[in-house]
Amino acid sequence: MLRDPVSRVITVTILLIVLFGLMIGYGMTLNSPQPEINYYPKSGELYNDYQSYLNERVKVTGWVVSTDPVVIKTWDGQGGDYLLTITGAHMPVETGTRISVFGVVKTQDTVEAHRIVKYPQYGVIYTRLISFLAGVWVAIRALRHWTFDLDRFGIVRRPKLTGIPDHILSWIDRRTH
Amino acid sequence: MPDLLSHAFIGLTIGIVISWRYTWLTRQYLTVCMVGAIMPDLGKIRLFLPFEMSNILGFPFSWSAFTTVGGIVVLCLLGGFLVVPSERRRVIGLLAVGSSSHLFADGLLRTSTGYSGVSFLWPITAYRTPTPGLYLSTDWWLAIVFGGISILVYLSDRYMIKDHR
Repeated sequence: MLRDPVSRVITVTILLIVLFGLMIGYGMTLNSPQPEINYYPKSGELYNDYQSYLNERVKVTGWVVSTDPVVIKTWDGQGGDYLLTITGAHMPVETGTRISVFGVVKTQDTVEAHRIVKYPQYGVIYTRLISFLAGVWVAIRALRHWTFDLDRFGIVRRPKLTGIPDHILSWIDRRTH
Repeated sequence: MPDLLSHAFIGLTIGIVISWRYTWLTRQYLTVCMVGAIMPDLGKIRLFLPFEMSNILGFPFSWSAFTTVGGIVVLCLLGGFLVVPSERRRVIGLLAVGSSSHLFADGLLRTSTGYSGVSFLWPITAYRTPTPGLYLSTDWWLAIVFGGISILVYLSDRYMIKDHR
């Protein structure tokens, strides 16, 4: 079924359209917070209509700018930021830490925390760096193990595992001698 | 989303274990399982874009769809139709195993709400599942733990299991 190049190209095209459709579908389904499915309002929604979220549960993430009381700088969803006071923090937080707070909205830009998650300061840079390395690792493996075969019009396993491709080896050779 | 390195290690480990049952599963197929394990994070493309897709398109759009059941089903099929037909079933199967491990690992992440941050069962349901909160996406020890498990499984594969075949 669907073995010839033409029907496979058509199938891939349809699948790409479906994938694009899924991204729109997900965006539409989860366009606004829905507490009943555990999708809570974030700082952007809160900023836009603070009064309507009073005594509602929200999830706000931001950087700690002061610790007594705890104040976080969070995002307004339009490229700017604003400050929120966090009460009821049950764990010590340090200035400059990124925290995620699940809590109830009170008056005067205050959220009463129920649960706080702290993200370590090295976290984001470390995670992006090793994620990038992992991507490179898997990409190199994929290029060494699989290749596109024009005659069979598809990706095939390489008949034998190549090491570093010859043209790269000779390029390194030229550079080092 | 634990870091991609942890995801790649999880995919590698599961692939090696499956190879004990299915002897056709060579290193080349292990790579397919690893590709499957990292592909649900394709939506991270958004981190490199200087604009919001929904602003450009003018309607709702979310890269998070890659990290859902619907997204990985389509990605697995795409993989299956990009390879030659004789590899299709194996590639779809291994991509499915790898990408399922990704969603499962993401479902255990610690969040402040106590529920997953992505509706990863969508489009079956948009419900966000409770999470046991085993780790943060930025925990440095994750890659070491999963890397260690990979090395143990790799060594036992190489020196014990393959020898006894």
